Amino acid sequence: MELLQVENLTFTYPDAKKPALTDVTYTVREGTFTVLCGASGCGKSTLLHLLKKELAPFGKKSGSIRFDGTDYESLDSRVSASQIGILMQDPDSQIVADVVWQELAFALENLGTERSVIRTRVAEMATYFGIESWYHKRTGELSGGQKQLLNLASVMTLSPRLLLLDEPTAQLDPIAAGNFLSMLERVHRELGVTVLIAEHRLEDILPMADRVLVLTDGALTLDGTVDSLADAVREGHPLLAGMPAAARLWKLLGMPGDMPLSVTEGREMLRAVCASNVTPKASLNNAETAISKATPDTADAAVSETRKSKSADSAESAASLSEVYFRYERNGKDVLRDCSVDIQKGEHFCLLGGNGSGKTTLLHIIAGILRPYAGSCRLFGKKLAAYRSGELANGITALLPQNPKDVFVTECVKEDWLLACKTTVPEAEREETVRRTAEMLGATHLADCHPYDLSGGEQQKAALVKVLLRKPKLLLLDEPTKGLDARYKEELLAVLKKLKDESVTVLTVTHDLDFAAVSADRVGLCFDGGVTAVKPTHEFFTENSFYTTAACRIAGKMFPGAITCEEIVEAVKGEQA
Amino acid sequence: MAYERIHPAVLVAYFLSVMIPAVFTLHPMMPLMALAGVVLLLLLTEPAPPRVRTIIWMSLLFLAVVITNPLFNHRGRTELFFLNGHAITLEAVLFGLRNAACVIAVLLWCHCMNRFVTGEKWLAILGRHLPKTALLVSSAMRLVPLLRKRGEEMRKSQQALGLYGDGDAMRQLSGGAKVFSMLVTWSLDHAVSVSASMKARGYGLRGRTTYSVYRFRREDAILLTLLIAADALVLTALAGKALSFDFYPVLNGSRNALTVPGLMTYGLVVLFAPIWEGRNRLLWNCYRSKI
Amino acid sequence: MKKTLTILLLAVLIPAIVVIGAVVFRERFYAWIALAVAVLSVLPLLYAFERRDSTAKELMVLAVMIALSVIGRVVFYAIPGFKPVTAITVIVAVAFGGEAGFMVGSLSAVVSNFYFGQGPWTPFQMFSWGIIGLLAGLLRGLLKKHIAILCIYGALAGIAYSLTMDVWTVLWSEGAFVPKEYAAAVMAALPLTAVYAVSNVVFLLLLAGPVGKKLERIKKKDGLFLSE
Repeated sequence: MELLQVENLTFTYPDAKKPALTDVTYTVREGTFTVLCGASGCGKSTLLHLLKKELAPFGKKSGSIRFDGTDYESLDSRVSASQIGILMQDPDSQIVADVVWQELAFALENLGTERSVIRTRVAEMATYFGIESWYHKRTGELSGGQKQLLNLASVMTLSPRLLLLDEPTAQLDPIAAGNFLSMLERVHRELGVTVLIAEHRLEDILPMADRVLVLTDGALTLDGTVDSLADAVREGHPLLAGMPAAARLWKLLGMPGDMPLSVTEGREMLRAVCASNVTPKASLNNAETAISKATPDTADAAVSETRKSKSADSAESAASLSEVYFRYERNGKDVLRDCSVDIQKGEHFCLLGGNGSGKTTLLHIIAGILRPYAGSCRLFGKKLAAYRSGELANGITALLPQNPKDVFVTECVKEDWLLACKTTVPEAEREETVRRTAEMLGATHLADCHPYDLSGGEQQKAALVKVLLRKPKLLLLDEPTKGLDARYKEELLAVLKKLKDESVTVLTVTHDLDFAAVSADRVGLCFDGGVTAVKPTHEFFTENSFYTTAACRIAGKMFPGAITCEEIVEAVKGEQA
Repeated sequence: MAYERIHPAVLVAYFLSVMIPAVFTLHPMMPLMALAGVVLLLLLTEPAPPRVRTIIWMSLLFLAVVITNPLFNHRGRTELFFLNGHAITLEAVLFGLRNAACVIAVLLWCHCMNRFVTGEKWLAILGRHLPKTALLVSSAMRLVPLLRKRGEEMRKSQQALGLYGDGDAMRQLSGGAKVFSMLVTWSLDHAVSVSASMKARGYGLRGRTTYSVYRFRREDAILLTLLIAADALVLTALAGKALSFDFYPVLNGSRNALTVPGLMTYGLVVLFAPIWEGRNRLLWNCYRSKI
Repeated sequence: MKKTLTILLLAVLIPAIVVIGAVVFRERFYAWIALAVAVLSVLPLLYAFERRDSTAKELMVLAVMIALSVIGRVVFYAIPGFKPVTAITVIVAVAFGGEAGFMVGSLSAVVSNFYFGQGPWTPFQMFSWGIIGLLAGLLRGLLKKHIAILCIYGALAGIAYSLTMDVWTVLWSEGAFVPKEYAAAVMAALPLTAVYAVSNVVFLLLLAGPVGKKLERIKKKDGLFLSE
């Protein structure tokens, strides 16, 4: 049965030159799991919001939307509120109440449900979602993952038939994201809820989907099963960058047959490639050869070699922490404990690690915002405490915070950029410097906007321009890829490359293993308040078996040393040659 | 905790029944009994011994209230001595003592009330009659820690970008005002997002109900009935001038048939909390030993 | 059923409690009446707010402003009297009207006392901050004219707040209004009164411009509080 029918839907925002959605037609059958994909800005959010009557944006709309056979224009607001649920990206901005049980009851209260019914429904939901143990907690004390689960449970109290989700895991760390998606799958499978989810991280979600919709610049360019996605991928659709590693590898190798999605399928494909090959595997056992084969320019390995020899020279280090201890409250627990790490000049160092492992705290200590209570920190050979207050922020370090909105003080992006140059660039050159930096990041067109009117990726870009205008020698990035799609990551990689040419040292804190694999010189793992396992990138990922990239897991023992899809391809080619 | 079981409305009614007679009468027995009761309750329920600082503060407050009254108030017949040509009278000193006992008793009872009747419980009571206000208070309480955290993050980010520094106070203040202004922008934006989520879940439809996890049970009904009966007796005694008391010009307490029952009932009300606490502890130990 | 209960509560029960209290607590008649005045002026305004249909956006904007003023009170905890609560209440009232100002003022007291502790002072703070907001809303045509007028209102509000609190202090400790004691209490509280007035002016000068502008913008953009 068709639950949702969208016909010739075209939508234009007020003051927009071209429509955000053009002539979109599709149907969603009851009980299906549909993934809506496309690059950011392709109209995914607009489409989802139009499907939820209460949130439909203002603008010019033509075409029709029917829910369960009823046109949206005549859809009862009670039916719409209860039968269509929506979940958005930011877990925090969907919580109304102070205590978990109040939040769970909120939707039912709105619909005028009787107390006794609310009591059972809330109990049911809390049990189903495993919320019982934090039922009386304040919502502010929950972790991001718990908050998003609470939001899902809160929507589910109304037992909706259609669940719309707008990138619900974008703000979560990988473990919380995994938990959320498996709960979503359970809700779909066990309760038969129809799901329509927009995502750009396709790795985990595609295996659950029955159907895929692809939006490109507001038009529906693909509507079919997951398998039919293969054709689009083969043609090099921009979607490719967000595909699972196995699928990317499949495309890069130009393999025939079905597109693999999981690591196991990818490994099988690779095994087939090797089997059809005469070259005995023995010759590949040496990791070093694989790396030199894998990377087109062997400079990478060489660089890490030279680094090793120089690491003893302290003058070469941009930041060096030794045995640092830090806690937020006097009687609190140590967030950093015996933490030592050395960031060398000119390198890109990626700090990985789970939530609460102290990554961000470490970044804040280096930025001079927090002061450790024991241990020594040196920045460019000088003791951190010896810098005058404000001196660090003035051309030594600059921090791009996790939330790019925190960077903007004024109501206009350009005003903020100019403000950033105030102490770092002479007045006459300011306009020119701002123009050049904005150009380098491809952010020139954002100059006259209000920071809050930009999309997540644009905000990040504009914020990075401001941070770079502080002319730091050591750039600190806090989760720069969080919630952003593959295209933006590519752009960020290009920027990092340029910064490297200007020998700016970069320290990145991230959950994004793929990003670290392609961009970092060295990688460290933050764990239990310290930094362990600092290694050159390739070594780090090949030696880890769980905490590593999907490509590395696919390559496994067949191509040791390869940590990205591109490297596997090179290795395969090298072998075939 | 034995108080988790009692309905919040009954709890609040109880605390009012203790505090109101202590505050609004002059009979010195009232605040004294209230003080004795709360000290007993604190001894039984306070998880950590009170810090020295709290005791010092309380004593200072006590002394301040005791001393202020005779200094400004020279009514009363029994002159103790003269200060700057004004008589310091025994009645005024005793009146000051009553006031001080009353202030401390109310503060301590409020301390207990704030521990037993949490924000969550106040909202459950409020939600019945003022549902919109309760929702507003609840979301404001949810926002306080969130906005504080965001403000702190913004301050740190701006510090790392050089908005603060130099340590000069004017710059710190203007920096703080700028961050606050940023926080306001973010908060209003956040308000719009949250309101979208509220609308999506049907806020604004007619006939909203309110839910509370606290159920009014038989035990609550019994307790409330007993409490109302006790209150009625105390109030009758008060209305019947059984507990009237004058400090000026000389100490003078009236007595009639209702005086002793009135005082005893109030004493029972005051002692109810510590007795209840003790009883539940004994019961608990009993259960445990039987298992 | 619920409506009749509410009306019963408002029209019968509360006046009855006040009268009975006045008879029973005749020794402390004035203190009782003072409490009754505070509670009775706050309650009808809260009920009026309940009866009005607020959109989700209006509610959340109010919640945000309450939270911000509470944070202000918490952050400046260490400096007695130096609080931005009144300033924020006045700014909200000028932008959104008297009812919004009243709600922000009075509920700031409630919410912040969940941090500082509820007590008999809560109704008095609700009353004082609420009325400051309500009045600012009623006078907003005048207050919008010039920042100086706004600051004068802020200073006066600070002084009035202090004087009112002193009235209650005297009523509570004496049980009756004794002019001599009141004068003493006012004198004793003089430095605090000055801090109230000055802090209101300082916070209004710092915040009225930027925050007021933001509130006006969201009001215009989203059509909030137009029924005022």
